[in-house]
Amino acid sequence: MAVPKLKVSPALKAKLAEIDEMLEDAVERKMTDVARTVVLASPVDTGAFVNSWSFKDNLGGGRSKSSDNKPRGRDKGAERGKGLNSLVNDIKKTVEVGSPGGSVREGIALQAGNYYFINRAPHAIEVERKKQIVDKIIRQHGR
Amino acid sequence: MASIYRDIRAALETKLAAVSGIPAISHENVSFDRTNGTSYVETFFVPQSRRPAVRGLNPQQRYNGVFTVVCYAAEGNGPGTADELADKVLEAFEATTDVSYTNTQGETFVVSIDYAEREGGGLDTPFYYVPVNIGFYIYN
Repeated sequence: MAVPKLKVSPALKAKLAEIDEMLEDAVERKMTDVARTVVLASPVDTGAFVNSWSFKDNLGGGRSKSSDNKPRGRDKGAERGKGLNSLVNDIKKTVEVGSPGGSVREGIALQAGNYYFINRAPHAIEVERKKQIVDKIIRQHGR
Repeated sequence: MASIYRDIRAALETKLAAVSGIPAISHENVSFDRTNGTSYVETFFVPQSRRPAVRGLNPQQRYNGVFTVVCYAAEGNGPGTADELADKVLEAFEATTDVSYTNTQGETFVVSIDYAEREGGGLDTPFYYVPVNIGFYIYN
């Protein structure tokens, strides 16, 4: 049996695209709110940890910066700003086109709906054990 | 059409600097040495979207974003000082108000405040902080 073809008018198509864009914007806004809490809750010494956060739609890959041989006592605001910029760029890319996969390595991950905030710094688990960053984020934004 | 992010940032930062009782401001990408026990605020400017406001050729753009002001006060003295700073920021950037700014070329921009809300406090030893998020938009 032939399947009837459904014709969508250009006006409806444009409306649907608009709705799609509005939904993407709303998700981006919410995720940016979470990203801000993520960087503020992250301790800064060399900046390796706060700059190892990634935002993805899968658990593969992600930034991994080591604190080895890096100068300590970095400007906290500057490092957090860098970390936040990376996350905001990730959010735009991931929500609009998706993010690449990669091997799953050790680190910490926080699920936010269909997305993940991942930190693959070699010392991420140790930092999380001391600072309970994931708890702070959940307390602010819920699960 | 060139973007106006620089002017939006300037409008919001100028407004913040003019708020009475606001301590030193740590701006993005400017070296800042915080002094233990001395309150300060830190800003993050996060543009979120730039979308045509209407259909058709050469549409006006609607810019959306969030200006975050993180209020820091000494750790161990209770939340009062950071809360007071956060209140001052909230009052200065009340929802539905506008922030007007004229740049060096004489162009005036009116940034509208969509919302202003604070988050729960947190510790960043030796400081306690309260973030205030100011959502803004402007048509240009």
